[in-house]
Amino acid sequence: MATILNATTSSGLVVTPDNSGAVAIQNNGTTAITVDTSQNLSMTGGGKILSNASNTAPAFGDSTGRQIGTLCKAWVFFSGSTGGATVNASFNVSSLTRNAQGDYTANFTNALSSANYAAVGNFSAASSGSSNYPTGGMAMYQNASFSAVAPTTSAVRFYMYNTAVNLAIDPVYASLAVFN
Amino acid sequence: MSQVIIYTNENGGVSVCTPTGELPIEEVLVKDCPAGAMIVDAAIIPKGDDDKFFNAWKINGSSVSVDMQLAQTIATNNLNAMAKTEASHRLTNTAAGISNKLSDTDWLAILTTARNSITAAKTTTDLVTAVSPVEQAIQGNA
Repeated sequence: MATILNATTSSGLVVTPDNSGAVAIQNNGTTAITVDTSQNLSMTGGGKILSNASNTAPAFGDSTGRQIGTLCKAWVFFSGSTGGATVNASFNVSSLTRNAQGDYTANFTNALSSANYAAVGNFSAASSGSSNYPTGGMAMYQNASFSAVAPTTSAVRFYMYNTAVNLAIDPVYASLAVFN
Repeated sequence: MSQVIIYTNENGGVSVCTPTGELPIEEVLVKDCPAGAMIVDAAIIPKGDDDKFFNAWKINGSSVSVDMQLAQTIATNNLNAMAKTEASHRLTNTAAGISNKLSDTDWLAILTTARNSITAAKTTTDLVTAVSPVEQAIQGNA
């Protein structure tokens, strides 16, 4: 049970108290948010935490207001080769471009607030002709010519290759995540 | 039929842009691709052994094909990279007192045959077949 704060469409705010110590907030009789006695906040119905600033995600802070965590701003899980990439799942990635063997660009659906972000990734290194040297490298912010490519708010480029024989790898499995 | 976006990139090669589904492909075309990029059916994209020579792809009108001369150069470069690495591996084995599975003479003969087969190749499958004995020799000498 919980004390209910119900925003009705007929009578305005209706408060139904109890002695449980928990609180439930309802939209016209449907529970949207509950706070239990252990200070756990729950949202129902796929509710979202929204920032009141454009293109800025909510931050996590401690009791002093100091930010102590951030959300992943974009990620993608894909397979290389077979023409372009095969995207298995993603968040905030509109497309993946195969520029050359092992050389890909992840394009963001919604631009990031800054180009100063951390992109991290990994992949399965096995490839034809190099299985004797299973030492794969994922070079972030770089193309297949081993030239640096500056990250932008709209895209990040990366290159996967076998570090022993310097041959490009189009991996069976690869993933990329971006934080800022 | 799934669709992708193709265009000739700054290096003269082909870029293939695959939408994730978060946006319609028409929006991806405008947002993520340069002018001249075009939406095509994924079915026209080369597959199989042609895919192993992605860096030799060229756009001809609305189709994509493999530049065999460039594919032969790529195959040779890849073969040389593997041969150099394996050469170091063979020297290391010798210095460590470990016998290589093939004699130097047999190893060099396999490389020569592969190089000749690359030169004579008519298809990407020919190129893959040409390099295969070298890959097997490297595997066998692990």
